[in-house]
Amino acid sequence: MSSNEHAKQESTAGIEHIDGLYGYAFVLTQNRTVVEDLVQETTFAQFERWGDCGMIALHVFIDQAKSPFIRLHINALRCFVPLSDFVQPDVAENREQPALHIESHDAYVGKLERRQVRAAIQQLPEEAREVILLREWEELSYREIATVLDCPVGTVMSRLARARSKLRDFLLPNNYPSGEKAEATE
Amino acid sequence: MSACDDYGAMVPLFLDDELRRFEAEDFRKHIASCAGCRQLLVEEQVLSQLLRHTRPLY
Repeated sequence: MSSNEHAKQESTAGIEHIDGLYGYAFVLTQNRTVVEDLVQETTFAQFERWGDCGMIALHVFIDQAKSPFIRLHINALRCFVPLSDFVQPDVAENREQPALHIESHDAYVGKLERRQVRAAIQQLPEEAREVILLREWEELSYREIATVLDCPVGTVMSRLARARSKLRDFLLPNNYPSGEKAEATE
Repeated sequence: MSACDDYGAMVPLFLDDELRRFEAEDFRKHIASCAGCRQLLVEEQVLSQLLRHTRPLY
C-alpha cells in the first residue's frame, strides 16, 4: 500500500471516530449546539495533548479511540444540560402514531424504561452520575474510573454504592430499602 | 457486623468483576447457601441490567 493510500485510510478512520463522537454526544445531550461544542473541545484537547503534528495526533487519536469517548462523556456530564433536554424523547417518539399502528408491548416498555432510567440518572449528583455511567455504560474497571476521574479506587467504590442506592430508590422502590450496606462512606 | 453484611457488601464487587478469585469463590459458596444474599444479588443484577439496557449506542 502506498503512503498516500495509507494516509487516506487513516484519515477515513479518524473521520469515522469523529462521526461516532457526534452520535454519542447527541444521545447524551439531545442538543445540537452542545454537541458541536463538546466534539470540538474533545478533539481539540486530544490533538493538543499529542502535539502539533497532525499525522501523529491522528495515529494516537485512532489508537486511543476509547479515550476521547471518555473525555467527551465527562465533558457532557459536566456541562450544563437542562433536564428537559437530557431526557427529551426522540422526535419520532413524540409523533402521533397512526391509528392502525400497534406498537409492541416490549417496545413501549423499552421506551418508557429508557426515559425513566435516564431521568433517574439525571437526578443523581454529578459525582455519582459520572461513576455510574463510566461503570455501567462504559464498562470501565474501578481502577480505570479512578484514573479517569483522578481519585482513589475507594472513592470510586463509595460513589458507586451511593449512586446505586439512589437509583434503586428511584427505579426499584419496591425492592429492599437502601440500608447501611449501600451507604459506604468515602 | 454479621457474615451476611460482609457478603452483602461484596455483591456489587462480584457483579463488577472486582473480587479476587478466592474471594469470588468464597462469595459463590455463600450465595449458594444464603437465600437473603442471593436475593440481594438478583436485585443488584436487575438494576445493573436496567442501566446497561439504556446505554446509548455509538
